[in-house]
Formats: sequence, C-alpha cells, structure tokens
Amino acid sequence: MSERPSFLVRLGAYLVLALATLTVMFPVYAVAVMAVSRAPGFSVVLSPDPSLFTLEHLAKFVARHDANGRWLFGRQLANSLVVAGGATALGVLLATTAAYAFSRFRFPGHRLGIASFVVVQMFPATMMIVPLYLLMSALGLLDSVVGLVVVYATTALPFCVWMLKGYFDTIPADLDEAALVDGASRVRIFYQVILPLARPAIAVTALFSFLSAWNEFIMAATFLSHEEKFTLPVTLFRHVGAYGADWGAFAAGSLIVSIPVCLLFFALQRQLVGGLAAGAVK
Amino acid sequence: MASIELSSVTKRYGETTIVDGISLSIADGELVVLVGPSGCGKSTLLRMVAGLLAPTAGRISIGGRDVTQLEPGDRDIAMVFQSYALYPHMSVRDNIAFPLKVRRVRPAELDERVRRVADMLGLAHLLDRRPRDLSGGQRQRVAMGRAIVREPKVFLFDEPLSNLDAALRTRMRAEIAELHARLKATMIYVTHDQHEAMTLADRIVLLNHGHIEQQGTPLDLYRRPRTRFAGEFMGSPPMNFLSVARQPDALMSPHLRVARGGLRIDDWDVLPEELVLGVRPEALRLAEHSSAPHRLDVQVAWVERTGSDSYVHARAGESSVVARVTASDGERVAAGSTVTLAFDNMSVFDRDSGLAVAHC
Amino acid sequence: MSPWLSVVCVLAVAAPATEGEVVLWHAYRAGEAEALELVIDDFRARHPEVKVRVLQVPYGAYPQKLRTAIPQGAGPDLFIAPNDHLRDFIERELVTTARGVPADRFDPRLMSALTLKNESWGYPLAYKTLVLFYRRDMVDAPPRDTDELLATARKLTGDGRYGFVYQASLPYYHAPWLFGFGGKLFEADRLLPFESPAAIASGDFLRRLTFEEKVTPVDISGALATELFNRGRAAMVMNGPWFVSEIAADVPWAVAPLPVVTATGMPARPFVSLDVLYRTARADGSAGAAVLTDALTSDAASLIRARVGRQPVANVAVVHDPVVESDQLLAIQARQLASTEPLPSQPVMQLAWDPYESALRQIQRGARSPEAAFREATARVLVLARPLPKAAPVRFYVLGALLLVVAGLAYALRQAKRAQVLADVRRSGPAYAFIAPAAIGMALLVGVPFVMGVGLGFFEYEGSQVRFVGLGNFASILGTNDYSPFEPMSFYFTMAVTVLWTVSNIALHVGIGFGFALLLQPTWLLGRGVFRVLLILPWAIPNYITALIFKGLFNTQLGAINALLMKVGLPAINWFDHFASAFAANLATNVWLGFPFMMVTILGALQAIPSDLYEAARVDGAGPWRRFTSITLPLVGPALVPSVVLGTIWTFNMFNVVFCVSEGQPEGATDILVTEAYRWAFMRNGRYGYAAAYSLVIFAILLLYSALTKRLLASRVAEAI
Repeated sequence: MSERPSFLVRLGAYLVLALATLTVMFPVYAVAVMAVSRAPGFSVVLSPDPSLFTLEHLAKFVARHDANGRWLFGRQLANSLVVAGGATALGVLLATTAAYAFSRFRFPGHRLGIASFVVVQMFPATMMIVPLYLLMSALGLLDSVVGLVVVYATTALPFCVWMLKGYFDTIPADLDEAALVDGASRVRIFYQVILPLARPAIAVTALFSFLSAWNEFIMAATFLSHEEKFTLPVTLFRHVGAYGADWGAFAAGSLIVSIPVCLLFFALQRQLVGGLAAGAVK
Repeated sequence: MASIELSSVTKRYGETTIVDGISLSIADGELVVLVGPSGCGKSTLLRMVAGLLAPTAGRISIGGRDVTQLEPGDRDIAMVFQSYALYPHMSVRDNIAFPLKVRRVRPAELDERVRRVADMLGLAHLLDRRPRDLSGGQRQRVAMGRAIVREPKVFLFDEPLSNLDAALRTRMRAEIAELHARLKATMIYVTHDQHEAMTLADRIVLLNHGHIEQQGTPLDLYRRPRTRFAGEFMGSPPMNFLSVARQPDALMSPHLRVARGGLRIDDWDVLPEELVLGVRPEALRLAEHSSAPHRLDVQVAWVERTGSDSYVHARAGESSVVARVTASDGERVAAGSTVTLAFDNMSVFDRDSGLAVAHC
Repeated sequence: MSPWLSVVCVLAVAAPATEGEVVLWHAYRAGEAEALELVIDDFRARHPEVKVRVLQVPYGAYPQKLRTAIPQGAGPDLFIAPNDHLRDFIERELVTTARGVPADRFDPRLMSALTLKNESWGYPLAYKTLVLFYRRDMVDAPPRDTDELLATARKLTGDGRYGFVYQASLPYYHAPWLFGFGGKLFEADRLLPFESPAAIASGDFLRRLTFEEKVTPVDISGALATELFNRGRAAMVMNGPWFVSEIAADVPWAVAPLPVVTATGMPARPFVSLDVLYRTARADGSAGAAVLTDALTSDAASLIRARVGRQPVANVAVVHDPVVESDQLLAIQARQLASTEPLPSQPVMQLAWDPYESALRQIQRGARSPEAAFREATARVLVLARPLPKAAPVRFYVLGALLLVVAGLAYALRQAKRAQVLADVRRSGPAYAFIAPAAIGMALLVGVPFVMGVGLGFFEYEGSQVRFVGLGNFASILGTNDYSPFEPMSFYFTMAVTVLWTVSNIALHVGIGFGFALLLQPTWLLGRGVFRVLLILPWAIPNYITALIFKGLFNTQLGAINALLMKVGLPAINWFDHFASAFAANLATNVWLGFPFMMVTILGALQAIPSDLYEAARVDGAGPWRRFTSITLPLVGPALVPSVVLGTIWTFNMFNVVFCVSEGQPEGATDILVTEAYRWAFMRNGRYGYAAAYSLVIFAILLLYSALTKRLLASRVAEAI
C-alpha cells in the first residue's frame, strides 16, 4: 500500500478518474448550461453559445412575488430551510435515541424493532401518500410546515436508525460501563459520552435527513395548499406542465435548489466517508 | 471502606451457567484476586459486583448494604477496565474529573482532588492531553486516577495490566500493590495471570467453570492445591503430574518410586489404588546418589537455560516432566541422556476425582 | 409525551381559520397564468370584500391533489381543469352542478360538452384545439389537403430538417387523422374497437409520415417540437395555442387550419379540449364563490384571457372583439373549432390513452401493421377496463381476521407468560424510554398509513363508493388471466423486469462503486478529496431532476447522447423504441444516481482493512491481483451485505427513474412493479384498491427476499445477543 506504483500506472489512474468524473459531472453541466442560456431546450448543451448567455431564468426564479407583494422565493426558501432543518433536528433526535437503545440494550422486542426498520422501507412510498394525507388531515397538520417536518423526519428514520446503530456498535461498550460505574445516568452517558463520539455518523444522518426533506416534492405538493407555504421543489415543478416544460426555468430552479445541498456535501464530505462507512459497514 | 458479601450468586444465559452459586466474603481492606482460565466466570462475577450485570439469583452486599438491585453508580465502587475505557473525546483532566462532575462536586474541590490524584500518579503534566496521545502505561494510570479520585469504598480491577508489555506490567503491579497499601481500600482484582495473583493478593480465589475451586493465601494455594486443577493452574511452569499405583510400602510406576516412609500418611490403606503424583518443577533436583527415598527416572529431551536456572524438559514414559535445576546442574545434563531426579515435596491426588489426598 | 405530539396538540388549537375565503386552484403556466393573475387582480380591486386565494398546483401533483383534498374538505371552492376528467369528477362527487351564470354566455357547442344527465357541470373558460403552424420562410402556402401536406413536407425534409413535426405518438395528436378518415371512438358512450377500417387508414397515413417517408420525426416532445421549429429544422408543426408563447421572436410564422384528408374529402378533426371552471361542494352557499365564478366567466375576463394569455375563449360576445378577430391564432382556432370533436370525458377513455399511444408508437417505427397494433390496443383496454372484483362475503373475512388476531394474541401471551420475558420487560424501562419517541412517530406516521394501505388492498372504489372485495384484487393480479406470463403486460413479466432491473442495478452500483473506491484509495493520489466530492455529487441532486435531465439526454433527435454517437460516426438510436435500449437508459440514470452510496460504503470498508494484512500477503509473494482477490474482496464483501440489502429494497421500489426516463416504453415493457402500481392508482381511474394490492404484493416479494438473505441479515441483528 505504501510504495508508489510506476508512473504509467499512476497516469492511468488519473486518466480513468478524470474521465469518470467528467462523465459523472456531465448532467450537472447540462443543467448549468441550460439554466444560463436563452436557448430553449437541450441542444444548447452540446453547442453552448456564449451569445445566448442570460441570467434571466435565475433572476426570474429568485425574484418571484405574490399578489400581496410578498417575496415568494424568500418565503419558500425559508420554508424549505425550516422544513429540512426541522426534519433534520427531529429526525436526528429520534434516530439517535432509538439507535442508542438498539445498540446498547437487549430487551423483548429488540429483534422485531430492528427488523421493522428494514421492513417498513419495503412498502412503496408512493402508495403511502393517500393514507398519509388522510392522517395529516385528521391530525389537522395538512398545509402546515410542522406536518411536513414530522412526516419527513419519520420517513427518513429507518435508514438513520439503521446507520447510527451500526456506528454506535463500534463504540466500545466499556465506555458506557465505565460511565455507569462512575455514576452517570443513561441519559448523561447518551449525551456526554456516546453523542460526542458518534459525531461523524450523526453528521451523515443529519445530511441524509436534510437531503431527503429538502428534495421531496410529491408529498409537499399534495399536502400544501398555500403558495407561501410551498417548499422550493414544489415551485420548481410549476415549470413542468401538461404541454411540455420550460427547460430554462426548470434548469435554473434545479440549479438553485441543488446548490445548498451540494454545499452541505462539500462541507461534510470528510465525515460522510468516515461516518457512513463505519455505520453502514458494521 | 467496606466488606463485600456474595451469597449464592448465579448468572445463567438460557441453558448456560456462567457463575454457579458463588458465596464469598471479602473483608474490609482486603485485596482479593479472582483468578482462573478464560471462561471461568471471573469477569462475570466482577461485573455483577459492579452492577453491570444483574445476577440471575443470589445477593450481593457491600458494607453491609444489599446492593443487588442498585445501579452501578449507586454502589460506591470504582472500576478499572482492561481497555481502560478512557473517554476518547475528553482530556485527561476531564476523564479523571468525570465521576466527580457526575456527583456535582464543587469546582474548587474538584480541581483540588483531580490535582492531588494526578500528582500521586505522576500525571500532572499530562492533564490537558487526550487519551490517544498517551502511552499504554500513562493511559493505565489515568484509568486508575479516575477510580481513585472518587475515593470509593471498593475498587474493582478487570485485568487492568493485560494490555501492557512485560516490563511495564511489573512496574504497574508494584504501583497497585503500593496503592493498596496506601489506600487500604477493599479491592477485587480479576486476572488470568497466576503470577499477578500470587504477587498481589491477600487472598486468591481460584475459579473454574463458574464455581470456586479453591481460596486462600497465595502460599496456601501454592503449597496445598486442593485439586489437580489448582495445582496445575498456580505456579509456572505448571506442576508435573505422574500416574502411580499404591503399593503397601510405596507409590510406584515404572519410572518412579516414592517410599511410604517419607510420606507420613496415616491412613495409607484407605487411599485409592490409582493415584496421581503432583511435583512442582522447582521441587525436583538431580539425584546425588541412587538411594534418595523419592526418585524419578527421566529421559532428557532438551535443556532450557535462562542464566540463573535451567529447565530440564524430559519424558517419563507417557508423561512429560519439567524440572527447574541450578545453572550448574543444568550444564551437567545432556539431551538424550537418562537421569534420576530426586524430590521431597509433592501433592497426591485421587486419579478419578482429581482431589488432593495428601500434601507432603 | 413525545415532543412532537405536544406540538400536534398546540397546532390543532392554532390551526388558522380560513372561513370566508374563496380558494381557486389551477395548473396554468406562463401566459395563461399571467392572464389569470390579471383577472384576479382586477377582481380584487372590484370586490375587496371577497378574499380570494389562488393556488397554482404543479401539474404533476394536480389530479392526485384534487382527488385526495376535496373529499377531505381541504380542497378549493373553484378549480380550473381540463374537461377530460369530467365524468370521473362527477362520479367521485368532486364537483357540483354549475349554477348562477347564464349558459348563453358561452358557445353552445362547448357548453354542451359539459352537460351530462341534463345538468351542466362547469363553465368553459377557454378551448384549445390543434392547428397547423408553419414557417413563412420555408412554406409559401399552407397545404390544403393531406396530399399537399405530404408533398410539401417531402420537399422540406432532409439535412436534419423535417417537413412536418408533431407529437405523433400521442393519441391527442393522432385524433385529427382518425376523425378525418371517418373513424370514431365512441358510440353512445360505448368505446368502439380501435381497428375500424377508417382507423386503419389513419394508421397507414401515420406510417407513411413517420416510417415510410420519414417526413415526421419520432420521439418528439412538446419542447423538442418548439426547438426544431425555432431553429428552422421543422417547417410545419401541428400544435395547440400554447405553442405561440414558445416560438422565438425572430421566427416568421403563420397559422392555418388543419388540412383536409384527401382520401375522404373531410377536414381533419382534432379534439377540442376545454379549460373548465369547476365548482366544488364548498362553493355552495358561498356568496364570494358565486361572485368570483361570475367574474371569472365574464366577458371582460375572457377578453383578458384572449388578449394576454392568447387563449381562444368560449364567450360568445368576445369572438367578435376586434382585437380577437385580428389575432391570427385566435381567428384560426375559431375556424378550426367548426371541425373538431369534443375531448371524450368517458372514464374508460382514461384507460384507453396508454394502449392507444402504444399502438401509435408501434406503427411509427413499423413494428406492427396498423391493424395489428390497434387490435392489440383494443384487447389491452378490455383488460384494463375489466369489471372490478365482485363484492366478497365480509362475514367470512372478518371471521378469518378474528382468528388471526386471536392466534396472534395467544402466541404473544404464551411468550409473555414465560416469567423471563416479563422480568426482561420490567427491567428494560430505560430502553423503552429511549425508543419511545421514534416508536410512536413510526407507529403513527408509518405504521398507520401502512395498515391503511394494506387494508385498502381488500377494497375497491367504484366512483365514490367503496366495496369490500376480499382477496379479489390479489387473485386478479397473481392470476394474470389476460396475458401469458411472457407478455410485457402480464404481472409476471413486469416482475421479471423488476428483478432484472434490481440485479443489474446493484451489480453495477457495487462494481462501479468498487472501482472508484479502489481508485480513490491510494495515498499518493493528489486531489483525492476533490475527486471524492465530485463523484459523490450525484447523490446530492434530487433524483427527479436527474431523471428528467437524463430523459432529455437520451432524446432521439436532440439528446446529447445521440449527438455524441453521431459525432463518432455511429447511427443515432431511438432509445425508447426497444426494450434493451430503453432499459439501458433507465439503468444508466439509476446507476448514475446510485453508485455513490456504494462507493462511500466500500471506501469505508477498505479503510477498515489493516494494512499489515497486505504487507503479510506481499511477504508471502502475492501480486496485486492476488491481494485483491484474497484480501480485499473477502474482507469487503461481508461488510457490504447490509448496504446491498438496503440498496436492493430501494432499487426495487425506484419509482422516479423508471417513471420519468423510459415511462415504461416500449409498450410498458420497462415498467417495474412500483410504476405499474402507480399507474393503477393515479392514471387508470383511481383503482386505489388494486394499486394497494399491488403494493402489498411488492411488499411480500421484498419480505421473501429479505427472509432468504436472513442469515446474512441475522448476523447483524444477532451479533451481540
């Protein structure tokens, strides 16, 4: 592992990586080009024409106001942030506590509980929307940011619990026991010993929760009925209609919607590999 | 400070019994070493004392108080783990202070106590380091510090030295002995290393298959093993075992003769006829002349010389025999030669039950 | 109490009252939305006492939202939607009769399309019909009949240009030919077989346009038609009025009515579809809703729609407005209106669109004769429209369910009776406390909908009526009576495709993930972090965006992939015409989306391998390949099992990619189980029960799969017990 292979091998590795990265980046590039081009549609991707450059699509997406003069994009951005942030906070809280219990205690229902976290992911999510709608309606949570927060937090939960449990399992139980002997309560052990040690995994869990809440579109569009309560993806889809799509606007919206998540990925990439790896592999 | 009382403590997992009704009294200030091979239940027993495991049956009391149902933190004990279990994300200072913080000790007093312990263990200059920046011995000391700072009634040690190298182990062993002398606290110390047990213990409790095989002072166990297992486990290299048959005037085998005269066994005639003789390697010596009362003929396989002593590895028929002899005697023995070994002390075990019938 | 439960309580109290507000929903975009906003602004100025809330629902969520929200009382007072769902809306009781506006405001022909059972069910705001757009710089005079159309188109085709462009695979766009050749879809509300001689003649015409003379390209979306027209690569485009707003400013264009079908001498008769203002039950008794209805349908509002939105409007008074008359598009729309067919609103039509589209696609690429293609579509509709399962004896099932419950309880009791379990439960208080928040959340928001979904599989909707059908839906799915298991339409074929889809995806995810992970592993690699982030990026982008982008990349005419192929001298591929290529397109998309997860997992597993193992292997004389197969693979393999199991479940149910990229083409062959379930629920007259049963079958298959891999899973579950 330690020694450097020959120059040719290294060159080959760089070439393959560069090629792979270019391929992977191509759709991203396509979105970016469409977003800043006046040409409607896809052909612009292969023959970008600098004279058609425009920030109009982006500006339009950002500058939207409603009839009462409220800045819709600002509100919807805020909604998205609140929904994704809230779902992340709630999801992490629920997932860490549950994962801690599954990792550290053996109790009746332990196996069943773990199995159920895998099993519930097997039912097609699209089929859950109608029952969920009825439920949210019964709880009075339709058309509210809180409703979405709760739904997103729980739908991301199975994966988060599963991952965190895997990570917690790698933290030696000796530490819990030492703390127990030192007189710490379970709650204190949880937040003073386990949580600080599980930071990479928690970062990944948070990222995952944020990502799935930030990107979700169908449930948000179905549950929300006030434009000022919409999240950004719902708005994004107004550009795709029955008789075709406004690709420039859609690409611009996609770009804007994707930027925060990409930044988050950049910021957390180190934890991502460590945390996901340890959690998912264990 | 406190005494510890275990009565009929049992731990079962389904059909498997790990600890089988152990009763044990430990006096205030006593250092008891639980020793035994892996799987004998010694760690399980210690963890039940700590409260980390709940016994399936039986009671545990510390200082006269029944703690069977108490949480570990409420038992007023401290424990040093084999892995040290230092909190990786806390500095040495925070690690040592943790039990005090949990108990809401005032900051001023907390600082004072942490410093005192750090001074005592020579950790004062390391207080701001993280555990991962410490050497094995330093980590070990931090773990001890975390235990000491609490000033608990009882210290529990779970194989605390087994992750250290030999030299460090000897030093830390001395430190623990010194600590015990200084704190005069009740301690239970678990190890699989009989040497550690011999050197540290006020009393050794030898466990096997979940029950107490024998307990007593180190010398007691060394000299008077109650069973063949005890004889084999305590002492290094282990005791030699040789099958013999009881004759009216001697214990005999083709290679061995032990005269009845030197044995002072009163009820010779009620002894079983099939016996096993246990002789410690250090009890064997080269016979000066063929008239020794107890002697053993062996064929030498090889001689291991350590400088101060020589270990003669030999065979007596089916049995292998190790003898520790002086360096000069070792030089006189050649591999492949047949020599006669003489001895005075031995234990005699019933071949079937493994119980000792006599110690001479 | 869990934290969010208390939030729920607070919120229930704080739920805002929306009394007295009039809510209007629509799915308009661009110019049409702008016109509507103007009308509403005007209304607000005139009627400050009425509070109006307008919601633009994204088109993709619109029908589903209407169907779920309105019965819950969470819907609008008024909504604007096309007329093709009219009967469905009526049967589900989503709409009420249209009252309060004089019917003679509107073109009687359009008004009659909204009249059923002697009642009118909405007001026509605008109509849309297909007309012929042409570039004046390429076409001198618009063709008057189909022979001229062909001749003109032939002249203008070649060099990447096409004479005549339209979305030829959509039934809506084929209708002008069907009716022009004298074909019919319905007779007294009964759907006729598709393979009438007239229809076959229209199919032959389509075949000439696309397959034989190739004057009309295939795989055309609305956006592509626009693009071709704007770049001068399409001389004539058949499209609706919405096309106008997409034509670039520098294109000289004109409109003409559709040509006459030479063979019959009859004009081509396109569908006319209506933008209808519907009223829901909420609007009854609401003064505000009545005022708004009147305002939206007024002549003044119509004028705005005509002028700003350039929508052909239905108000009689506006037709002769000078501005409208001078607008070429609107004038031609009005002329075309004379020879149109109303868009069918019979529910069975909802089932017919898909098979009809399949038939058109097969004709276009010459895969089948028009007769065979239409015959197959007819048979397909019969299958889709087959009667719902019969009502099942409820008593029998209740008894069975009771027995199951009793058995379950008895088992649970027997378990609990063992003193150990009870003691363990008592001892595990802290554990349960830690789990409680998540467990309550899961039980409520995943468990309850899950049970509801499962229960729904035993029921079937008939309009707004719900009927218990027991195992009828399951029998119908698994029995697959209508097709042999080897035909693309059968359940078993779809299942086989789903399995193939899952296996090939996971194999590629792991394979590519492994390759990249190995490349990213060496310490001498510069810029490791940068490469790593860039390769993880696909994970961050919403997968429906990815899917739509890939759909565009794979487009036959303008997609980047075909452009690349042609640059290196390979022929362009009609990606969605063949199972293998359509499947490959789906696969490429999902591999792009899915490999980063595996790559990251493998990276982690690689890091966990102690390097002295490699050193030992090196000392033993093992070469790189040997080290890979003897150390890397065996050590990484087991670590991947959980991720693979999870990845399998995700891929098996990967809806977005299949639904957006191949859309099941060709002929539903690339559909997987979950997209099929979705189609039943939301695209085939809302067969929720059937769809729920489908989902339950999917669930059972995955459960079986995980049971088969249980030994592998169990190692993880049981590790510390």
